Amino acid sequence: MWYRRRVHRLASTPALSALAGHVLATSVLGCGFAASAALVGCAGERAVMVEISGTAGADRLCLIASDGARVVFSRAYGDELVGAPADGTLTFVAGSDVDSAVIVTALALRAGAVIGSATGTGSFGERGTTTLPLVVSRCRRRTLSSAALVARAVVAIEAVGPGARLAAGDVDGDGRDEALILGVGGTLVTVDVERARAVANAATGAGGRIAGVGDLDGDCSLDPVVVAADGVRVLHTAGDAVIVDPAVNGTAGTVDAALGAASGGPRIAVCGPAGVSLVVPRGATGAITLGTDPAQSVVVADLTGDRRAEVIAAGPGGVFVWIALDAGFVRADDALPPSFATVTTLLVVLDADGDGTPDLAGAGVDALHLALNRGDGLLEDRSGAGVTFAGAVVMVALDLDGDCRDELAVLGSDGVLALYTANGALVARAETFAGVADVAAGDFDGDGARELVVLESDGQLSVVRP
Amino acid sequence: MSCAARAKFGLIAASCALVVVVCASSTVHAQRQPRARVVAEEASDQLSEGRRRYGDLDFAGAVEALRRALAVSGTSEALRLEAYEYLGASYLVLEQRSDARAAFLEMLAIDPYHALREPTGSPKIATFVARLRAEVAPDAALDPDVRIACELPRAGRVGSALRVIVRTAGGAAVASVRVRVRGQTDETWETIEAEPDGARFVATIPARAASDLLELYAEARDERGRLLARAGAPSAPLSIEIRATVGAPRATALYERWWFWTAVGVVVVGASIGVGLAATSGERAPPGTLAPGRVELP
Repeated sequence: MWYRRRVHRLASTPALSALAGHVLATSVLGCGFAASAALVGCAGERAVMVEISGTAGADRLCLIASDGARVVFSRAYGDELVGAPADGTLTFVAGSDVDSAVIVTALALRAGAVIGSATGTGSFGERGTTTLPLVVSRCRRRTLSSAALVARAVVAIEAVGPGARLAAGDVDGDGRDEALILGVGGTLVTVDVERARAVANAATGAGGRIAGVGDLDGDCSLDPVVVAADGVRVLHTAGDAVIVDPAVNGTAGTVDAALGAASGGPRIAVCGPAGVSLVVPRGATGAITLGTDPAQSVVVADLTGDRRAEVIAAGPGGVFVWIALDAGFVRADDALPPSFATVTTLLVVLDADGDGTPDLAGAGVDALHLALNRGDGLLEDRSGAGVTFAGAVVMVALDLDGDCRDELAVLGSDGVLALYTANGALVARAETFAGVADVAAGDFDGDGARELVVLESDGQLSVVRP
Repeated sequence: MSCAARAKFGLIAASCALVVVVCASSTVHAQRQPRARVVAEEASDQLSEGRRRYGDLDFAGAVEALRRALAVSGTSEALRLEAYEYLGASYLVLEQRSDARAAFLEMLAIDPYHALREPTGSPKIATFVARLRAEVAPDAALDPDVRIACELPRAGRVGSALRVIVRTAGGAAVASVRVRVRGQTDETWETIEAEPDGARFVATIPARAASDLLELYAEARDERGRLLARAGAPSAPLSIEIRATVGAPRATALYERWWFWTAVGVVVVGASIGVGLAATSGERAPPGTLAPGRVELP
């Protein structure tokens, strides 16, 4: 064909051949770099990688992410933690709504009770991945500009009326605890302390005292446990809704309850005139009776450091201890010092000396006592005769001054709230607050350290912090 | 005997000798292997028993089991380290402080910077060991809040240097990081100072001349040079396999070959697209270790 011959002639011309080569090379390079530019021009991901550590001792880890207004991710990790370090990472990729920051809370739980937490805000950079370390711990050190405690009015709660009880817990997963006020008629008011406003108001059917807040159904949403007249009830929170469980069978007459005990699964320790037992949340059967001596206060703590929680109860006969072993619970009252024989009304778990092992404080008819854990489950009272205090009705332990050594807040029947440092011995602080109806501790500003909230008899809610 | 017959005899004798040597070595190997396995299993079983009894607060029983584990000869350093740790802790709970001291000193002799792993986290034990450690390793300032993690490539290539990225967080300020590395046949650890690179440290491990299995661990130190934390340990090091490269034939006068320019074109296009893809995929956030790895927010 004539055109084949012409093409062949043109191609065999050196100048034209070189030109064709240049055109081809330029085209190839141009196409390549155009493709590169197009790909590079695609929007890169912006992400926050959360690095979780410090969860040793937990049997479950909950990760909850929110944008400050709603929970956007919630997941429990259980089996992954068995026999392995609980630490790990999780990457959050920015979306179209959540595009500036994500608030992530890590809760370390054991038998449903929160034993440590960490909250942080991860900001998305302009591109690439930023990291957000979350070190789960029981307390967070902080430096204070002033050691003096100041009470700041938050909001007046009129809906609940006199006799309301107070507790704290992060029931909405925003990384900050809320104050929970349960009225005599069963109205549960949730207060965002930091923003000074009531955020939820739910009818629960019956009043009572919120004995603890934990995750008993494994959904990473914290559920208040109420000691009511007809028994122990679990209020399951899910978003704005509150689902009230019927009272656990056989718990009528209960005067106190505590979370964190386990025997074939999470159990609630309850006590009353009939003694001390472990009951199954949402279960009608399977109660384990630990003792039949009457008790007024019960707490749960891993005194021996073996990741199994002991049960300690106080009643007219003094304090009883049940050590948790593989084979079950074994009573071992000699774990406590003799001075605790006079502790008959109140118990609270605290870390008084900051060594990381749980210590105990207790109240009798007219005195407060402190027992420090040696680290192996044996507790010693180094304070002597204790501190005179008549009519203690509520005891709360928290670290107010940021040194990871708990202080003790004790509310008397006269409505006066007194504060004690507890490093080795109980020493009264100068501050007292009068007219207090109830008191609770929580991390209301999300900084990892806890503050006190007090409910006054006229319904005024105030926060106390340095 | 003729020369050919002698040669044939010699060949047969040599063959027989070879067969005997092979059989003998096989027999020795066959005898040694089960013995080594039995030793490891026996010691490991006793250590497990010690751990179990320790967990059940049967400290006297734990001591017995751990002493049996340590009585087995030929056990690994890692096993002896853990056994001495539990043994010291058990003695301490039993208030036998001199025995506890001896056991913990044995532990520290194996690894003076060993971070305690016994499960109770008892401050009494931690304090006791910290005092002993101060005697044997004055430059130890272990801070449980300091977290250190190494990012290692899955494998390295012979003739190529390796980059090890070390990230630290929490606790006391980390002033320097050292990576200590050794090959399979090395007895001593080579120390490589990691260079600070923003919030991380980067250590460059020199190229290896042959395939190897590198063992390494990283040490974080404060400004006074005291050791704060480690990633890996001499008895439980991290590892990277160094793989041999595949050799490529050298070409001469390539520019004279027609396919050279075709290859150049393909390479340019491929490289360009590769660069583009790499740049884009580099923007893809890495997944975490916890499920689901990545969470795409709304």
